[in-house]
Amino acid sequence: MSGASDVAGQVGYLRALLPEIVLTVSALVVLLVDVFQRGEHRGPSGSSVRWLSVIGVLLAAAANVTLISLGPAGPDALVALDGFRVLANFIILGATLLGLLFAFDYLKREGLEIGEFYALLLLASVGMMILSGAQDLVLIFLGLEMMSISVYVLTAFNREDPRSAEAGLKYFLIGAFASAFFIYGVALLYGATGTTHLVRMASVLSHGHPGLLTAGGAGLLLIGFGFKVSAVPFHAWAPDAYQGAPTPVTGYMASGVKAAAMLALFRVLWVSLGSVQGYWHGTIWWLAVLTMVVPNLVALVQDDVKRMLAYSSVAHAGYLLVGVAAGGPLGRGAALFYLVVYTLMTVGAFAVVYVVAGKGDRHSHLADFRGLGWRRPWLAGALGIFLLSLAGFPPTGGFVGKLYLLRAAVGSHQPGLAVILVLTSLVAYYYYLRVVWKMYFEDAPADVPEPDVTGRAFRFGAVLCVAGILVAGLVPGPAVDAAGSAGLTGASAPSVDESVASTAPGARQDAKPRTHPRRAAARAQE
Amino acid sequence: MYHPILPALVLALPLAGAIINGVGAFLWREDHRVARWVGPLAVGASFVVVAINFFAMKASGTTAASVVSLWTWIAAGGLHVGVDLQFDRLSMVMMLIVTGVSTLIHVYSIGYMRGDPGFNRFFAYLNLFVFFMLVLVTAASFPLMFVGWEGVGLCSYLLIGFWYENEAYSNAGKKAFIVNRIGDFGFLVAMFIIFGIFGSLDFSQVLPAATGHLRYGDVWATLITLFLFLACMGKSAQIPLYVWLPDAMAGPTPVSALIHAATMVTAGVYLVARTSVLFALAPISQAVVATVGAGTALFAATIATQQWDIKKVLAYSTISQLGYMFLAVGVGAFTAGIFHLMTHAFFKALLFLGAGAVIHSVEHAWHEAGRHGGDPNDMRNHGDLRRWMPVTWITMWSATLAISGVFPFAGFFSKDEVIWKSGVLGYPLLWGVALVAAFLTAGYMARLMALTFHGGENRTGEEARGHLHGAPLAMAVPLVVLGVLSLVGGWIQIPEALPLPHVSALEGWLDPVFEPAHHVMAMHGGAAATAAPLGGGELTWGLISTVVALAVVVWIFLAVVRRRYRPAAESPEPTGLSLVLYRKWYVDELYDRLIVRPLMALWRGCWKIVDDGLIDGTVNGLASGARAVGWVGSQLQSGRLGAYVLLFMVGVLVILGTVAF
Repeated sequence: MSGASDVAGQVGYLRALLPEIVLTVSALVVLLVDVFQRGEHRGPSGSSVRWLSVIGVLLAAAANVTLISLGPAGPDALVALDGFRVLANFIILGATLLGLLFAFDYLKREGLEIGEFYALLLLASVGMMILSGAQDLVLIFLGLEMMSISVYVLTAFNREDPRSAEAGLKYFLIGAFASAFFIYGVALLYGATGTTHLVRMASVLSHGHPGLLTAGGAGLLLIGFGFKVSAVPFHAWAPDAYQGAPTPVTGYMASGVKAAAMLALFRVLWVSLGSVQGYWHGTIWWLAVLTMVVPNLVALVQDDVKRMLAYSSVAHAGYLLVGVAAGGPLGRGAALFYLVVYTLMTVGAFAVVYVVAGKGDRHSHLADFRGLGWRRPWLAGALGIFLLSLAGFPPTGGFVGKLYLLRAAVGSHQPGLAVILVLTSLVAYYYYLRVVWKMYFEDAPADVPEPDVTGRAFRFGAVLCVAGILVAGLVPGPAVDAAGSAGLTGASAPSVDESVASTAPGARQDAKPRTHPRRAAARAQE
Repeated sequence: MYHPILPALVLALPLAGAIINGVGAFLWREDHRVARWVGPLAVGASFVVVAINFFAMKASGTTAASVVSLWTWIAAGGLHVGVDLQFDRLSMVMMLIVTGVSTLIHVYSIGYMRGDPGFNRFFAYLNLFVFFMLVLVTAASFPLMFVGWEGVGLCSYLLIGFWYENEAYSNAGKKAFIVNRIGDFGFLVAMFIIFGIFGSLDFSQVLPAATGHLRYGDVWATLITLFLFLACMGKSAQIPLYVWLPDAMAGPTPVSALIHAATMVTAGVYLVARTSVLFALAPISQAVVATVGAGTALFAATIATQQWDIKKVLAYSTISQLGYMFLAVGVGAFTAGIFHLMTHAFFKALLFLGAGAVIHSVEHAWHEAGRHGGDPNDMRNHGDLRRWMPVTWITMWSATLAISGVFPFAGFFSKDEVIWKSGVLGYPLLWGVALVAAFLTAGYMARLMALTFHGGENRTGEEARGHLHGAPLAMAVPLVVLGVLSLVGGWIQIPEALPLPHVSALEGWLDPVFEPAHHVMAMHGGAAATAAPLGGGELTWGLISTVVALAVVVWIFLAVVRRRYRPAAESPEPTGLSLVLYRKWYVDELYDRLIVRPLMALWRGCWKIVDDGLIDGTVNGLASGARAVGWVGSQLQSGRLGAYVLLFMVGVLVILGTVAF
């Protein structure tokens, strides 16, 4: 291990945390520039803060590239230096960039051009990156809270709109509730193992005799994460918050927050608790199943497209949980790849919805999409591709992503998850294709409001999303390879890991046969 | 030693033409110059390659088949099917007929289809047809032959419904396709049985091994051949599957000439000839083939006598002549069957092309005169056309005398051979039937000629008459060539019994191919008789039949010419027996009552009960169920914080409960 990659020292941490640092600095610069520009008067912020925040994201992405060349972090490092974190950072930064691009038009339209918006967005992203990259539960909690608090504010950002304020409040209250469970779980695990560091905790658990304390800690952690990834039954806030929040924020929340929390969950479960799967695997399995089934069914009866997409993004959390439940390099690769595609299609879909909905986000009813295909062919075409990808049609990335998840589920000998994934996707066709039907097969009556004119930033973002989805669907090879080979520090026996992954899709990372969770737990307690 | 010269080129050229013209149908739809050259040249060049191969094969004197393996098509378990082409004496004859007649008809089509908006598409289909027909006749295995078999069916469908804007035409295409499906079922079942018995589907594996695997009269041989014959009944329009062919006349007339007279419909005859040894092993099947053939020959000829539509007369005539071919191959006179196939290709193609020229001229004249409505195909609207169309008139007489079996035209030699062989090979009844049908043939053809070209009175209408015109050059040249062939085409096979130089070019050429079949028949059947069932030798009966045929032609001709006909619109409906014949023995109505309507009722029931009720009901029920569950779920989403926290806590308790215990 070279000196540069030793992150025990202070300089090492500066390098290892370069993307987060760059982004934090950008957020502060944005705040300062905004304050100096606006001075005393309360008008809209200048355009410089927009471009500064975009540049900040791009710089952070560049800094993230430098992480690739750093070797693995030392065993005691608080942040991981592995492919998993690098990819997670890219996903989060991508979601942030798209969120920014789509926010420009929206904020101008709604009169919300305030510099804090950009700063909050960047800080939330910093929190996400810490959340998904940290190797210590305390640091994870720090990232979680940093992200959450910023997002609470963003949700309630449109103070004039009671829906936005209500959404923010609900999100905050239940979020606080969930955070309490999370930190309690951390405390119990610390009590059981004497450490909050994921890798060390893993070694303690694999050598010692885990008991009820561990089980309780794991359960409480799952609850905390379950809230963040909007897993059923901890999802109730999500449709309300998603619908009430300013639409670009919704897209950002649905993608970035979910990606960061999902990847952190993956890391915590498979690194620190990998040896005590009996305590949590059954729970994750059921969370995945419920999160696939319930929102997909409820989405069927939604007539508001924004709310329908909110349920759809909850349902996608279920698909992602399949990847988490599968574990191993295959599950990891599947989750990462799916998150890439999912970010593109979800952020894009929400963005098109706000354009159609018009000022005040009033016209997002299904009926407002009638005849969109003939009125605004480009806009409708983009939304059509997003929806088809969400539904999982070839040749979109959504299809390849689902295929990858199915392979992971079958490969980890959980065909039940695969079957449920397929069946619930089938159900979802109805509500996705219903929008497509409205756009192309129904005529628009005269009273349907004309969608907004789109700006350059929006168009650029939409083209990025469409292109990304089609590339991921038509030439998925490079992205699949990158996701499949992303290493995860501390995942048990990584060397065996990779070799098995390359030979058989059905490989699991631990050789331990899966038993009924309760019996496994009982055996572990003896 | 003979090696096929550029064998793939024979097939590749028409395929390339089809592709070029198919692209043209999209890219330069209005520009017909490319199709005008590429269409005929692709087929003509293919004919040249075939001819070169023919002479090479002739020079080498080989009797064996040369198999050219292009690539492996199917390899699954014990089944191995290659894309293999077989060049032997039989397929060579077929290739010559197919490419030769096709070239002439392609040239003719340039004139006939001139100015049609679908000109490029037409040539694309026509080239594609030639390609598939060549696949059919050169295939070295049953599956590849089946590809050609289906391919020509597809092209037939596409070309019958070529003017698809007319619903009746596209329905005719569908009818042809569906009726042929029934036959194709037979082909498939036959293939399954053959593979089950022989473990292979290559002709080179199956046919030589037939006598080893199957006894004479073996039930499996009978089954195989009967199922193969089912396929032939569909493709070659034999009773009871002939009904599609008259409707197929909806296609452009060159299509009727090429596909529905000269080539595709004879594929069944070729199939029987190709598998002759299997049929020789199954005497029951042979009897069935011969009986169906003779029956069809007579039955269709009766219908042809009372049709007014010139193409319908020719269509039933074709069915009748195909019956002769099956009679021949059924009694075991395979060479005679192929001989009649060849001469029929000449004179029937010519008759259709001539009819096309007539229709073209009348239609054009009406168009010029501003007349709409009326049927240019109806012979009551023709009359005395020889004055305007001398080339068509003379060449069609050549074909008429040929098909009527008048010496020395081609049909005399081939048809007499068929009738004679059926008499001496032990089918006296069928011999009589064939004779009667032959005289009917002479009758309806004389009627057709008299109505169309003679009578001293033209019925196209005063204004239109001045616009009638002869066939343009592109159409006239093929007519003349085929007219000459209708005369001399039979001279390659002149029986010994006639007081003429004995020629047996075709028999000598094909005998090696049919040798195994003849061998089987000679071992188990009796020797051929030397006299006809009623006594008398070949010379006597040849003399009788040509004299009677000529007498019938003259008699009917004079009878028709003397009668005064009125244009179709003013003519009375036929009555009595002529109504029954005009209505084609009411077979279409019978099929409609017995098969089509009960099946439609059954399918409607299936649709209503199974599809709408069971399947849609299940699907819709599931969908409503899902929506109902979704609605319940959405009611939990009340928007009240307390309810959310309650749900949250339920989840917490369940999770903690499960991990704790």
